[in-house]
This record gives sequence, C-alpha cells and structure tokens, in this order.
Amino acid sequence: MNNLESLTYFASEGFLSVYIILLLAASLLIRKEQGTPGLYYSLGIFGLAVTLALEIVACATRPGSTEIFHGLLRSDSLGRLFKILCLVSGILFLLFSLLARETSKRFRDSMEYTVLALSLCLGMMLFIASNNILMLYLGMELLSFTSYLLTGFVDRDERTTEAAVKYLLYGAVASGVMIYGFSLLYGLTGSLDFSAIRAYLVANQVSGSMLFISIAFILTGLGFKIAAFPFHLWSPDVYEGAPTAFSAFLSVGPKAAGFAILMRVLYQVFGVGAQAEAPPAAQFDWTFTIAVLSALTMTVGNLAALPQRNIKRLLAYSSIAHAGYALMAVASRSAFGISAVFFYFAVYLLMNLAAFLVAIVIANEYYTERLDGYEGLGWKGPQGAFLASAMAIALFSLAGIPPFAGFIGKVYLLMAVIKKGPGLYWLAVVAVLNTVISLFYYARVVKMMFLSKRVKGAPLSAMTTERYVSYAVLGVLTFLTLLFGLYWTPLDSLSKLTMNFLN
Amino acid sequence: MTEFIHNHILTLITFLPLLGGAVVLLIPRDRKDAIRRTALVFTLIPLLLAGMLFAGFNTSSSGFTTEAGIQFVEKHAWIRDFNINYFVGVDGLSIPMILLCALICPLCILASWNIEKGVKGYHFLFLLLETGMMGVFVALDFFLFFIFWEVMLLPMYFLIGIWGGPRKEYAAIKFFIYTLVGSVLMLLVIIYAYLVSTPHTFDLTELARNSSVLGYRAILWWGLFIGFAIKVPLFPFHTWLPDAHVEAPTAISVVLAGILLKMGTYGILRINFSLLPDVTRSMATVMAVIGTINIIYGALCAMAQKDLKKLVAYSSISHMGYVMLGMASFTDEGLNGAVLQMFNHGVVTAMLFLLVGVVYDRAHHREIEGFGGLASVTPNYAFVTFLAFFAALGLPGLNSFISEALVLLGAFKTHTVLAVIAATGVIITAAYCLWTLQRVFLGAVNQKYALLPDLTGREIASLAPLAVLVVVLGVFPHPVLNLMKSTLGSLNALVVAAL
Repeated sequence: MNNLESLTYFASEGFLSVYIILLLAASLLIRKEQGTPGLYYSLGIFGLAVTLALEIVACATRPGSTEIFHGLLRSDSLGRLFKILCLVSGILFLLFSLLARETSKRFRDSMEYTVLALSLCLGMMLFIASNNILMLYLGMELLSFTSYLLTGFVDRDERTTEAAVKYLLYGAVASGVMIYGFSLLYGLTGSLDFSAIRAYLVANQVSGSMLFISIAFILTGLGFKIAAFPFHLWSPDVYEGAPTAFSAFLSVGPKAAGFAILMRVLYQVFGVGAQAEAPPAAQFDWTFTIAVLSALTMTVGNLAALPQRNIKRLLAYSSIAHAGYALMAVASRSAFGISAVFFYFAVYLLMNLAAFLVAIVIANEYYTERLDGYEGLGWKGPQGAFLASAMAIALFSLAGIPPFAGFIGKVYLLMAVIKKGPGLYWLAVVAVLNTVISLFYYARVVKMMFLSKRVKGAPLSAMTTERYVSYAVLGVLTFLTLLFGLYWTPLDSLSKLTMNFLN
Repeated sequence: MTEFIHNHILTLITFLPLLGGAVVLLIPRDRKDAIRRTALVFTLIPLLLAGMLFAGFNTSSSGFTTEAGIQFVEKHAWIRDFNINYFVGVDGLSIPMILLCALICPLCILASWNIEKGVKGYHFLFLLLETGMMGVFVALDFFLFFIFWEVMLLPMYFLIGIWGGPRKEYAAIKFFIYTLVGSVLMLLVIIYAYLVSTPHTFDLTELARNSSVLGYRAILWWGLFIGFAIKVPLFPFHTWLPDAHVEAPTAISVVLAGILLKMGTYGILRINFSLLPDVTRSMATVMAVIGTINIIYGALCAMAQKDLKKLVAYSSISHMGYVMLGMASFTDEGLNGAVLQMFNHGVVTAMLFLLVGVVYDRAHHREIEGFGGLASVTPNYAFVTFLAFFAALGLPGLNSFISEALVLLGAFKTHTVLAVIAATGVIITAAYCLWTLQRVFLGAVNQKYALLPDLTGREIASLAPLAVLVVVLGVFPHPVLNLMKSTLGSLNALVVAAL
C-alpha cells in the first residue's frame, strides 16, 4: 500500500507524533514556574487517551492484516491489541507519575518527562507494528533510548545513575548483537521485509547453522527487551533505581511490546506451527529453545526473588518470572498460544500495576521501599486495611491463586502448552512448581502486612486529593483483577482476535 | 418462594455464607456482637436448608456417572467458550458431607465467640471458608471444583496465620504450600482431561462416562491422588497437619479436622474412582497399605504426644486411615463404612477439638500432664469429654464403632492381613484415649485448677448437638447410611467392573 493510503491506517501513531511536536512547541511558550506537573501530566494523559481512542476505533473498523507504507509496517489485530495494552499502561504510567512523590510535587522537569513518555509510547507502537527489520530496529531504539533517559531522569541517588548507565550499556550491547543477527539474516535472504524473508526461507535451502546463529542473536536482543534469562540481569537494578512509576511501566508496557514483536518474528519469519505449512528446511524448530529459555527464566526469576527485601526488586524478579511464564505460551507455537500471551499480559497489567501502586503509596507515606515498611499495614485503620487487601489480592493473583485473574491467565498459558502435546508436558510441570516457589515470596509480603503482630510506623496520614485518586485507581485495578478471575469472557473474545494475524 | 428455594437450594447453601460475609463487612467494627450474631444467622440458614435437602433427598436414586443419579441439579453456562458450567448437584456421596459442613459451621461460630481481635475480618473469612467448602462438595464441574478447592486456601491461610498460636506464621505457610503443591498437580490433570475430551468438557459426569479417552492414566491418577492425599493427609504427606491443627484457633481446628480432611477422601472417591476406575482398582493394595500405615502410625504418634491438641490432631490421621482402608477394600461394606467414618469422624473430632479449646481457654495451656482430677472439678466437662473419647476409640453404641466395624468387615474380605493389622490400631487408640482421660480427669486434683469453671451455656450449645449425634448414630446409623448406600453401590460397581 502506498504512503498516502497508508495514512488512514496510521491515524493513532500520526496523531501521537503531531501531538508530541505540539507539546514540545507549547513547552517553549509556557514558563516553567507557571506549569505544575499536574498540567503536563494531564496533557500527556490526554494525548495518550486520544491515541488510545483512535487505536480502538482502528481496531474495530479495520480488521484483517494489511501491510502499510510499502511493507514497512503492518496493520493487524495482534499489533493493534498489543498497542492498546501498551497505551493503557502508558496512561497509567503518567497517572502514577503524578501520584508518586518523587515525580509529582516540586518536580521541575515534568514537561520533558511527559514528552519522553509520549515518545516512548510512539516507539512502542512502531516497534509492535513493524514489518521490516529496519522499522523494528528504529522502533526499538526509540523505545530504548527514551527508556534509558527516563530511568535516570529523577536524580534521587547514586542508584539511579547506576541503573541508567547499566541499562544503557546492556541495551547497547543487546541491540548491537541483535542488529548483527539481522544483518546475517539479510545476508542469507537478501531482504529486510519480513514477508519477503519468509518467502525466501520457504522457497530456498538456507544454511542451518547460519540461520541458527542469526536467530540466536535476534533472540538476544528481544530477550533483553522482555528480560528473559540470561539477559535479565539489568532489570532488578533498573527497577530499583528508576522512578517507581517508570518501573511499574517497564514491567508491563515495553515487556508486552517485546513479546508482541517476538511472536511476530518467530511466527511470521521463522515459521508457524499452527498452520499446516509444508515443513521446509527453514522451518527451524525453535520450540525447544524457547521452552528451555522459558523454564530457566521463570525458575531463575522466582528463585532470585526469594531473598529480596526491597519491594521493587522483588517485583522486578517476579516480573522476570512472569516473562518466563508467558514465554511458555510462545513456545507452544500455536495460534492459541498467541492469544494466551495477550490474555496473560492484559491481566498482568492489572495485577502488577496494582502492586506497584501500593508500593508508590507506601513510599510516599513512609519513605521506604523495604519490605519492613509493610509490617502491620493491614491493621492500620481502614486505609491500611484497604491498601493491604488490594496488595494481597494483587500478589495472590500474581501467584496464580483463584479466584483472581492471574489464575485464569496461568490456565491459558498451561492450556497452550498442554495442547502442544507430550513434548512440552515437562514445561507445564516446571511452571506449576514455579507457582509454588513464587508463593513463598508473595506470601511473605502478605505475612508482613497481616500476620505480623507489630504495627510499625505511624498511622497513615489523612486523605488528600492524590490519595483519593490513588485509591480509586487501585480500586478499579483490584476490581478488574477479581472480575476477570470470575468472568473473563470479554477478555477472552478480545484475545482471540490476536490469532487472525496468522492468515 | 418455596419453589425458588427448592430449585436453587444448593446455590443458596453455598453462597449464603458469602452473602453473610459481605453483610459482616458492612457492620461497624466495634459492634462485635452484631457481627457474631450475623455470622451465626448466616451459618444457621444453610443448616436449615441442608435439613430441607436431607428431607427432600431421594435415597433410592443411584447411578454415579449419570445425571439421573444426581439430584437438585443446577446447570448454567459460565464461560461458554471453554464450556465451563456452573454445574452443582448432590448425590449420596456429597450429601453427608454437606450435612456435616452445615452442622459444624454454626457450632464453630459459637466456639469463636471469645475471639476479640479483628472480629470482623475473622467472621468474614470464616464465612468465605464455608462457601469454599460447600462449593467443593456440590461442584460437579471440574473447573468449578478446583476454584472452590483453592478459594478455601486463602481464608484458611489468614485464619491460621492471624488468629493462631505462637508458631502461626510457620503453620499457615506450611499448610498453604503443601496444599498448593497438591492442587497445582491437580490443575494439570484438569487441563489435560479437558483437552483430550471431545467435545472439550470439564463436566465430571461426562468425563467419567468417557473416561477411556484419558491417556497416561497412572500418572494422572497419581497427580490427583497426591493432591488429595496431602489434604487427607495420608502418610507421608501428613506433616503439615500437626502444625496447622495446633496453631490454629479452636474453631479453625474444628473445621480443618471436621471438614477439610474429608475433602481429600471425598476427592479421591469423586474423581479418582470415577475418572480412573481401572487404575484405582489396581492401586487397591497401595491405598490399603497407606491407610493401614495411617491408622497405626497416627495412633502411635498420638500416644507419644504431651500436648492435648496435638494428640487429637494425630488421632485424626489415624482415623482417616480407616476411611482409606475402607475405600481400598472395594466392597459395599467397606465403602459405606468409609463414608460413614468420614461423617462420624467429622462429628467426633469436632467435639474433641472444641473440648480442647474449652480447657485451653481456662487453663491457657494444653499439657496433658499439667492437669489431673478434673472430673471432680468440672463434672459436665468431664462427661462430654469421656463421651467424645469413647466415641473416638470406637466403643460399641457410639457412632465410630459402626463405621470402623464396617470398614474392617469390608477390608477383611479383600485385604485380610492388613485388616488384622489395622484392627490392632483399635487397641492402640483405646490405649491412648483411656490413658489421656486418666491423666487429665482422674487421680489427684491439681490444686492449680481446683476452681476451674465448668462448661458455659454457649459451650454446651456448641457441644450438645454433636454429643446427641454421637449417641444417636451409634445405635441408629440408618439415616446417614441410607443416604449413601445406592450411590456408593454404583460407584463400587463401576470400579469393580473396571478390571
């Protein structure tokens, strides 16, 4: 499709790009002293909300899969749904930034912060929709560079700087390796376009070992984005050092984007298991590779989370483990697996962001991210009881205990794996045993909040407007976590749409 | 109105406690008595409904895997895309358990009257727990069953962990982890069974009818069996039980021993037996041996205990062994005895834990050696305790005698040697029961407790219904036996025919 026609498919991204430029221009006109962070964040949220609305409209009115901009991008339901997911997490990111102490009051650079956040979202959208190696790389770099900046944006202490530098160095190496993998792929197939590469691989005999190296290098880059073992080492430090709102966002949005593109590359370029395609030599069987990565990722994440005493580090490791669970469905190499990944991320967004929001409220109140700050929280009056209950629901949902949505998400993933057949049964067993391990550290937080006799620290301060907003958001997230645990048909119909990108 | 109740009786029994929990949450936290009364009312209504269920139950309908054998059915689509249904119903296997659960829960609320810390949370969680337990017994959809099975864990974790004894945190997490290990294995089996059945279904009756599609049968059987065995708990998965029972508050120990343990054996009967009858049949000896070990090992452990509550906890392990042995006999007597024993043990052990709670409330310790001569100080208490312990040791004329005799009768036909060994368990049980009674109630009066008050009205109210049942079912067990006879007959026939 040519560029002009493509624009109609590009409404949301187009709007966001224009909006970012307008916002930058506007920032020159508004003097800093006048602008409160609230204003900028609201502008940012407004922009993302409009983008989200446009995306939802596009998702409803433009079904089917179309290549746009001469094949640089692809408009399909997989991309659109993951974009919606990322935009929702982006909106919540700005909302959380407004609520978190470190990025709200007396935060002078909220304008730049907002613009970076919006650019990050734009990067994510392009990344998810890319249908061409160059576009993928550009989207990813836009996403990555804004991420590095945002990680180090709030000058809290030396941990922040360390986190940002670490992130940058790791990220640079990973994307370097990935682009090398892509260059090998280009050398093998002579094309940058996913469909063309696929066509070449199907039609011609390609050297197996070269292809393998190329896939391994590409997986390195994408594995870095989703923080899969053994490329996960950056994530605990970054989560700990970054502003809490941004850590929350990192664990959901960019990770979901990474999964979307991982599935796109693996399924679209390196063969689809679900469809009865003639198995050419190029039908490189990555199922086992991903399955092993998945098992290692979840096990390493869960085991490393056990001794953590800082809530952000704990959630960072837990988020590694969850990437491992989601990889399990990728490994199933089936259409159902794709929808399972989407479903999982949708519920993961709810429960994980709820947990982070409680961490933000507690950090605002007690200036601590350590687990001891949660001691006796459940007994500190109605506010404490509400916060602690919401946290407990989020954590039990993360652990995959019914009747919360996290359990249903796990059932989807396990179903995808077991559907695949006996070859992957071991992975399902590893996953459920990991659930048990994960309960140890989730339950430890719950124990701190409810079981501990000592009520530590002052009672929670009186309600403020910000507090009301926090509780309202928390209430919605918790309610949805519960609702989708009991009735998830709406989410199921949505996630089914992701499957049709395979046609 | 009556029609509505009749059509939705199981839903009402299951979810009224949850509604009660919501009501409790709305009551201000300092109005403790209002909370307690509300909780009592919302546990008494299910008891009333269970009475109606009992009256309306047709005892002659049988057929375990057919829908005809199931009564008071409610079936609504829940998640259409996955063919998950809200499918509940009762048969002769589940109705004794529902009656037991409905009976014990109000008594537990009575026994929790002296809880002062976090009354609101306690009663909310307790009512949630009752919903979970009832749900497990009425659910006939595998997915629904699993949800209820797990929903129970959360309130239990908090009830032990917040209101428990000194080592409550350890006991709570140990209970949680053990049960979770079992249930995640079950989850894999559930998903597997769903995926191999055509059309995909979670319907337990349908899965039982087409159970031949299941592959890897031995592995599936063990996956389910371990999950349930942890709950029973069968040796060697029993180590969570003494900790949980000892640390839990009185009412929660009662629920644990009285109802939760039965879920393990209930699950084996409902799911292992009907879905994998051939494997079940071939595992007869294994199950019988495990049951016998439970009987003897539990009894010996009980004898060695210094803590009264721990003694009762181990005696539960021992008594659940009879259930297992009866189930493994694959005779009508054995199976009926096993389910009757589930009911009887629920009644007796609930009494025992309540009684331990009574003395603990007064003396603030449970050392068996620390008492002495209580019979003359608190005669009423002594009378009820003697009754309960006599029932536990299987004195003829009291309820446990009948079920244990039936179990041994059934087991003798198929596992003669094991039945003989198990019978010696009766002697050990008698030994530790009588020895305990002697140390606590007879002998010289311990002057420290010379002024111990006797049972209060509330305590009598919580013990009397159980005491009456112990005696009545001891001489006239037919009301309960009739409930289960035809269902268990067809279940047994199913398993026996499988090999």
